[in-house]
Amino acid sequence: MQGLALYRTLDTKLIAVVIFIYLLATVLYFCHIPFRNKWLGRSATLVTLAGLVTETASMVIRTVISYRMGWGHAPFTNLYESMVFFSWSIVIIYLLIEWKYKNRTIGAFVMPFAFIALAYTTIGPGIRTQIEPLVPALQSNWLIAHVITCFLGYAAFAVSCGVSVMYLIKARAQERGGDIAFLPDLRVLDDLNYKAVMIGFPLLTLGIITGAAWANYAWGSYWTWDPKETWSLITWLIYAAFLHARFTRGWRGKKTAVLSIIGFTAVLFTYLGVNLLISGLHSYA
Amino acid sequence: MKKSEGLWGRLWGFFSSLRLTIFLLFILAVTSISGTLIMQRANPQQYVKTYGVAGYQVIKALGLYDVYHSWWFLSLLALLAFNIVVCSFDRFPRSWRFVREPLRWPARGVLGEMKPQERFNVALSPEDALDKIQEVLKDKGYKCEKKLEGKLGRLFAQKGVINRLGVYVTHLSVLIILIGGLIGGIWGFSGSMTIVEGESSRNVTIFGSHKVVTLPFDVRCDSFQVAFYPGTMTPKDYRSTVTILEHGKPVVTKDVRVNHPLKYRGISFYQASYGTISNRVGTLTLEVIPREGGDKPFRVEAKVGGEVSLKDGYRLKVVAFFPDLVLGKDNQPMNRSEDLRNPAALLEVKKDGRPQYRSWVFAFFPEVHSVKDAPFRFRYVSFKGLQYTGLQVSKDPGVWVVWTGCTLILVGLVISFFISHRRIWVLVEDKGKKRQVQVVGNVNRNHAAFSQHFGEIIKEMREALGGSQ
Ligand code: HEM
Repeated sequence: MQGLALYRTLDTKLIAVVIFIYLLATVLYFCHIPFRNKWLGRSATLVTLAGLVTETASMVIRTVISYRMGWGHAPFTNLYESMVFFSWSIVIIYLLIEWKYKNRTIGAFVMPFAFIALAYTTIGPGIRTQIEPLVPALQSNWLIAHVITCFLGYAAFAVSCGVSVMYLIKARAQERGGDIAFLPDLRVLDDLNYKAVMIGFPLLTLGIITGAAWANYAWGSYWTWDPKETWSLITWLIYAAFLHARFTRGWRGKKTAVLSIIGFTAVLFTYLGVNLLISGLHSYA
Repeated sequence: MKKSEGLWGRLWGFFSSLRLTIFLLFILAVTSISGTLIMQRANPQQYVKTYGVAGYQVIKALGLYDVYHSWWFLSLLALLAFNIVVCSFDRFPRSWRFVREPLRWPARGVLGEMKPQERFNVALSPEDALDKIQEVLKDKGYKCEKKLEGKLGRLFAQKGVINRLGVYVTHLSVLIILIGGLIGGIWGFSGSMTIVEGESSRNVTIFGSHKVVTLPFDVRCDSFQVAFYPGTMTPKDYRSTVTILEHGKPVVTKDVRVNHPLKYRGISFYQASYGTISNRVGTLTLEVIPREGGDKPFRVEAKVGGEVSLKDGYRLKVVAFFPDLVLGKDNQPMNRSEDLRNPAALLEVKKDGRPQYRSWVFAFFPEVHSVKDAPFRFRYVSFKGLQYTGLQVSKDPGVWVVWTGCTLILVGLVISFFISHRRIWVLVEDKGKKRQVQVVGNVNRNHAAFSQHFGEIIKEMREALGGSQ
C-alpha cells in the first residue's frame, strides 16, 4: 500500500526536483556570462538536460498512472499539467536554439521562464496536482494536437521575449555610453527575436486551427468568440503586425523588441489571465 | 505602379500600404479586447444592472453588446481584406516576373558587387568545369542552366523560388477564411433544441435571438443517459439516442455524445446539455426478493405506469410514483416537491392478468411493507426521472471553405518562412594561361545560414574540380 501511494505521487515528486534543477541551471547560465568559463557553460547545459529528462520521465509516469487508474489520458488536461508541459516546451525550444546558434547567454534569460512556470505549480492558487478523469468534452484527440502546438508556440514566444529583454538592457547601456560586453551583439539578438517569432507564429496558427477544428467537432462551431479564442486571436494579430513591421517596414531593434514583449504579455494573458479574470468555455487552459 | 499620381494614385497608395496593414492589425487587436471584458449578447436589463443607464446607452450606441458583429468591427475586417487585395495586385506582377523570368545572365559589373562571392583558378576547360560545377549544384537540389559565350562559360542555378509566392498563398488564405466565415454567417445557423425523452421536435431556437428555424425533418430523443467514472461524481459520458424521422418514418438512429456529433443532410447535432423535466414519470429500478428462501434476489426496471414480468407468471405494475411523499388531508398520499427527497412507489403484483396485491416501497424506509407473507418483497434501488436532452444544432456551409483557408495558410507560412530563394551564378573565363572561376550567391532571407551553405558549396566545387589552386 505504502509503495503504491508513493508511486501514485512519484510524478509530482520528480517535478519538485526539476524545479530546483531549473533554478540551478538558471544560476549556472548567469554565472557563465561574466566568467565565460567553458566548463561552467557546459555544466549549465548538462544540468538543463538532466532537468528535461527528469521532467519527461515525470510526464511519462503520470500518463502510465492515469492508464493504471483506468482513465488513460495524456498529461495535458488541467492547469498543473499544462504548466509542466509549458516549462518542458520552453526548455526544448531553448536547447534547440542553443544547439543551433551555439550561444549560451540566452539561457540566463530564458531558463527563468521554465523555472517560474514550474514553481508556480506549487504556489499558484487553486492548482490541483491530482490525476483526474477526463470530462466528456476533453475526450478528444484534438486536445493533444491543440495543446502541443499552442504550448510549443508559447515557448518560442517566451524565447523571443527573453531575447528582447536582453536587447533592451544592452541597448540602454550603449545609449548611456557604456556597454554590457557579455551580452550578445545587438544584431544577433534582433535576429534571434525574429527567428523565434518565425517559429512561434506558424505554431500558434496551427494551435488556433486545431482548437477551431476541435470546437467545431465538439460543439458545432469553429469560432464562437469565447474570451480565450479571442485572446489567442489578439496574440496572433500582434505577432502578424510584428512580422509586417519587421519584414517590410524595416522596424528593427528596440521597436520590435518592445513589440515582442507586448506579444508575450498577450500570450500570458491568453494562457492564464483569461482563466483568472474572465470565465469562458475553456475550463482550464 | 502609378504611385502618387493624382487622386487615384494616392488612393491606391493608401490602400496598398503596409502602414495601413499594421494600423489595422493593431486596431483589430485592441478593439477585440472590449468584447472579452463586456458581456456579449446579454439582454438590456443585465447591462443596465451592471453599467447603469448611461453605460448602457454608450454600449448600445457603439454596438459593444456584440462587438464582433458590430458594423465598425466588420468594416475593419473588410478594410483588411481590401488592403490585402490591393496590396497583392500591387506586388504580384513583380514577384511573378521573378519566377517566370529570373535574372539569369546579369551584367558582370552587377555580379562583381554582390556578396557572397569567391574566385579561384582551375585547369579544366570552361565547358568541363561547368559540367562538374553543375553536378555539385544539382546534388544540392539546384536547377541549373548553362550558356557558353566564346571564352566565357556561364551557369545560373536557383532553388526555392517558390518562396517568392509564399506570401500570396498566406494572404489569399486569409481572404478565403474570411469568405468562409461570411458564407457561414449568411447561409448557416446555430441554435439549440430541447427534446424530452420519447418525444420529437423540429424547432431550433437560434442563439442570441428568439428566432426559430424549422427543420425539414423530425428529431426524436429515444433516451438520454449520463455515465459516471466508477466511484466518482465526474461524468464520463453524456449520451442521447436520437432518431431522425422523415415524414414520420425513422431513417437514422444514432448515439449523440460529446465529441461525437450526428450529421444529417448538412445539419449537425451536438450533445450540449440535459435536464430533468419531471420526477413523477420516469424509470424505477427495484430489487425483487422472492419469499421462497432458495431464490436469489434480482433487479427489474419499470416505467411509471408500465409493467414488467417477474417470474412464474407474476407481473409487476408501477401504479404511481411520488418523488417527495407526504400524507395530506385524509391521509391521502401527495407530493411536497419535484425533488427526490422522499421517493416512494405504489406497486401492484398480477398473475395471469389478475391483480393479486398492492405494496408500497419507500427509498428511505426499506423495511416497511404493506403486505406480509407476499410472494415477493421489493426494495427501492434508484429512480431516473423523465429527462430532456439539449442538442446544439448547426449548419455551416462555409466550414469547408474555412478549412481550405486554414490548410493553405499553413502551407503559405511554411513556404515563406522556411524556404528561401537561393541563386548562384558561375562564370568560368578562359584567360589563355589560366582559367578563372567566379561564383556569386544571393539569398532573399536568412543570410547567415546561406553564407555557411555557400562556403560548403565552394568547398565541394573545388574538390570536384580537382587540380585547382
Ligand atoms: C491577417 C492578415 C495578414 C497575415 C496573417 C499576413 C501574413 C504575412 C506573413 C506571414 C508574411 C511574411 C512575413 C515575413 O516573411 O517575415 C507577410 C508578408 C507581407 N505581407 Fe502580410 N499578412 C496579412 C495582411 C497583410 C495585408 C493586409 C497586407 C497589405 C498591404 C500585407 C502585405 C504584406 C507584404 C507586402 C509582405 C511582404 C512580402 C514580401 O515582400 O516578401 N499583409 N504577411
